[in-house]
Amino acid sequence: MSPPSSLKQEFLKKWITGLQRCSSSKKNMSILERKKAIKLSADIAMACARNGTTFWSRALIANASKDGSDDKHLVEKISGPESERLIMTKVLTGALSCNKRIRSKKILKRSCGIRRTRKCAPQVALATSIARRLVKKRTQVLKSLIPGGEFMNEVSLIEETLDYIRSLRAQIDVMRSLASVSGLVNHN
Amino acid sequence: MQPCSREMQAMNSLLNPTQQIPLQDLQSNGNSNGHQQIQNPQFDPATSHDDFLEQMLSTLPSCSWSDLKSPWDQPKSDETGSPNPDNNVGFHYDEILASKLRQHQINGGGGSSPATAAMKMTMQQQMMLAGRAAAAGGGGLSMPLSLGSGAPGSNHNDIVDGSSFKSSNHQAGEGSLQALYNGFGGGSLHGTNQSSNQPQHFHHPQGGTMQAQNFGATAGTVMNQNQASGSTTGGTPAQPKQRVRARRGQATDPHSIAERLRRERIAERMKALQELVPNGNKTDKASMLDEIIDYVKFLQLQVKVLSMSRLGGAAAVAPLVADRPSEEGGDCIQTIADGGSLPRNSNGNQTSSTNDSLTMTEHQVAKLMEEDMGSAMQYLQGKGLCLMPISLATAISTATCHSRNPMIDYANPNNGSSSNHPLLQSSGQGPSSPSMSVLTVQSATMGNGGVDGSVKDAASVSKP
Repeated sequence: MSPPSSLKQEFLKKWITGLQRCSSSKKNMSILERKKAIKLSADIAMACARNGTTFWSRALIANASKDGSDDKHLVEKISGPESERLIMTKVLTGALSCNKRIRSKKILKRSCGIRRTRKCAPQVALATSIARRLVKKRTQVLKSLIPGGEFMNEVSLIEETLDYIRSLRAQIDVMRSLASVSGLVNHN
Repeated sequence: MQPCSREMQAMNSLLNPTQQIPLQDLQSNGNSNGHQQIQNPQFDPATSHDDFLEQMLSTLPSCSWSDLKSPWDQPKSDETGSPNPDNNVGFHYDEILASKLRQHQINGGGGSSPATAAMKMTMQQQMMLAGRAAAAGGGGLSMPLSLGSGAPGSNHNDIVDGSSFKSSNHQAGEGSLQALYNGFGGGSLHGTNQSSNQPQHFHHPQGGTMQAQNFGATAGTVMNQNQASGSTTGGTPAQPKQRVRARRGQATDPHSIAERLRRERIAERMKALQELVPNGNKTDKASMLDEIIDYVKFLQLQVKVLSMSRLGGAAAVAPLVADRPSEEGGDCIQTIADGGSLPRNSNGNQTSSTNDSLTMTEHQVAKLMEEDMGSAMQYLQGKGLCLMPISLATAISTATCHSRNPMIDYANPNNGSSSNHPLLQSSGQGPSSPSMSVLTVQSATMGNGGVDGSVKDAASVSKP
């Protein structure tokens, strides 16, 4: 499933603004820095293209715009002045509410977990416990991969993964086409 | 009504092993109907069972069903009703008694002390007797006496009682009650842990813990007005109420409903993910998650590589530019984009074919190969090199003699698959565009574990 072109266009526009900002600020960057800058601007652009609807985008923006970080200006530039405040509020409230939600869910689960034991054959119980452990391990890994993933419960984690994959694909397509274009331009 | 509540209290106290109502309280019941029959371990035959029976007969029906439902609750004072004639309530007794006794069996079957068990047994049998008596129309009043006489102090009195009871059962011929009694007998067998003479008398000569389940089954069937069979209902949960275990997918408990909803949502999303992720035809949740994780990692890697390759010729100032693993958890990308083929504002002309750089490259690749094949491949491809099996390399080299750079045989000791001998071969001018390097990266990481597939692609791509 190729990402919709609207997503790509949004991303492209925002990314270009971000890149312009990046290149205008520093002239001589090492390769590492450049790579970081590009990647960062791409990430932020992608997140902003989502306009704060998804969790991971908010987490990305929140991480980037932490107080005292240089990337804050980048975020401001990319997200645009009027929408920035909107997104900031969304980000903050989203993070707070999510933490609370997760914590209350954990408490609830712990309190109700006692009465919900089922009887099953020992082999079945062993197998299910092993399977559950495997799945849990993998969800942990997934949570570490997706920005802001530690705060989500399983259902939203999968949703976010879905969206994240889609945006990553869009990002890659755009970057690749841009790269090929620039390669062609440079060749000729 | 006072008497009823006290009756209930007595019954509750006897049935519930944890309640601490002293027997004296029960005995000092100032009921006008007579004193209550107390379950002492020394059963006094002289005490009038009739009174107790009458009390039971009169007060039981007046208690509401809801009271009986949870005998473990504190007895509430019951205001309902007045004593009904015996005959009307015979059936009611059976139900009530059956439920209470079943609960008692389930709860008290797990190793109560013999004394209390005896108490309970006698109590049960009295109640049973009461029911029987009611059903039989009062003809069995003589029986309690024998029962009482048989009871005191010894456990195997149950046998005696059982035998007498059984005879009465046969006399009356009520199937359900008989079944109930058999259940009782089994229960008493279980409760007292005495199995000396019991089997002869009972239909269910089963010992041990089967009794509890048996009893539960029989009581349940009695409740449902069926003939009791010897089958057990399996793992019925030990709860005060008799709960029918919900069928799979039809639970009514709000928690399980919520759980089911959650699982369905997760399954939906997984299905959507299946289409997105390549190789997503796994049915297992764990392997599906594996694929997802790999794919996300791959995509992130691609983004990184793309952002690097975009930098063009400014790249490769030093041949060893590495993102340290501390930056991204373990993903070691060594890329030098374009191999310097693009003359941008490069700070130095780098050529990949000096001996120094080659040895350095070799060392670096060796180090990378220890950690992760994929990153090693990427590093090479960043330099415009690729890995391929020796056989293929020889084929290529014989076919085309353009390669300006010497071929290097590199036998990887760490490589598990012995059929593969990765070989460093520099393609002619290196990848001429970022897109090509990206393609090689993509193909490299696509063939995750195996070098073969990726290498083939790499070989085909890197040909000038």
